[in-house]
Amino acid sequence: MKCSHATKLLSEAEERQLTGRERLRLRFHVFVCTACRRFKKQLGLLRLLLTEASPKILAAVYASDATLSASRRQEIKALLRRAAEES
Amino acid sequence: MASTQTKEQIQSQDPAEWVDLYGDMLLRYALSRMRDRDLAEDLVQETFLVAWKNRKEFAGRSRFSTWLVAILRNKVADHFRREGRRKSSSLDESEGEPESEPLFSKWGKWKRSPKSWSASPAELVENREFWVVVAGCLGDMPAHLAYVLRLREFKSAKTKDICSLLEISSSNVSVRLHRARLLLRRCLEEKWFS
Ligand SMILES: [Zn+2]
Repeated sequence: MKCSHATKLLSEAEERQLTGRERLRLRFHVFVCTACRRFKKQLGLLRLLLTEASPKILAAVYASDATLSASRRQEIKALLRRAAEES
Repeated sequence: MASTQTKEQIQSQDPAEWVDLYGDMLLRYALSRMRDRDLAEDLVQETFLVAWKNRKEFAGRSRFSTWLVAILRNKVADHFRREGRRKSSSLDESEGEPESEPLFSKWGKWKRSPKSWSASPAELVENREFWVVVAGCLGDMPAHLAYVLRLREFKSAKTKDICSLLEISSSNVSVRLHRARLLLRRCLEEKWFS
């Protein structure tokens, strides 16, 4: 089994149940391959972190102080006023 | 607070006022899902126009802000659906890496082996700087990949729900998730764990 295939299966294992044969070959590859063993551990860590991550932390990180640009604000208001007049 | 406005108030209000009341909140929502600022503003704009057109449908059972976010959420999903369709018609997603720098050699070996990470999950979760790096890494990868990863890992969305939201097959979802994880892993290794 190639590392590229092993990593794909490791990732897919989070989405679906691997077949018995896949599991067996994967287990063997991970046993002999340090790189994929690390990858497997890292996947687990990422999974844990991302699931734990409070969406609030992320929201804070992403765009806590973003505001609509002044020009866009005017543009949207103008569009809405026009729509309101038409109705 | 404006968010508790009744149905009647909303429907008699000058819609231009909505922009001051809810514009920034919607923009932040959009930016938490995409990096492209112009695009985020476009979607906010569309959201307001749709909200105006359908204002009679706002029944006042939820907050007006919640109702607006629901419209925006659909706009965001629409966008990624279109985007993903364009991407998957231009390359076969089940094959190879579209990147300039492949992660594996043509014999399927790691080009650069993952390093050993020393990390305490509990500390990382609390570390704001780490999340800034995560956000940066998600922003650097193709947006349709980051979006699927966010749905799956942050929202714990089921694969089948992602399939129907984006109208793609489950193997497509797996391929995207796998790529996204590989890219996130590499990016974190470079920017955090080294
Ligand atoms: Zn390997």
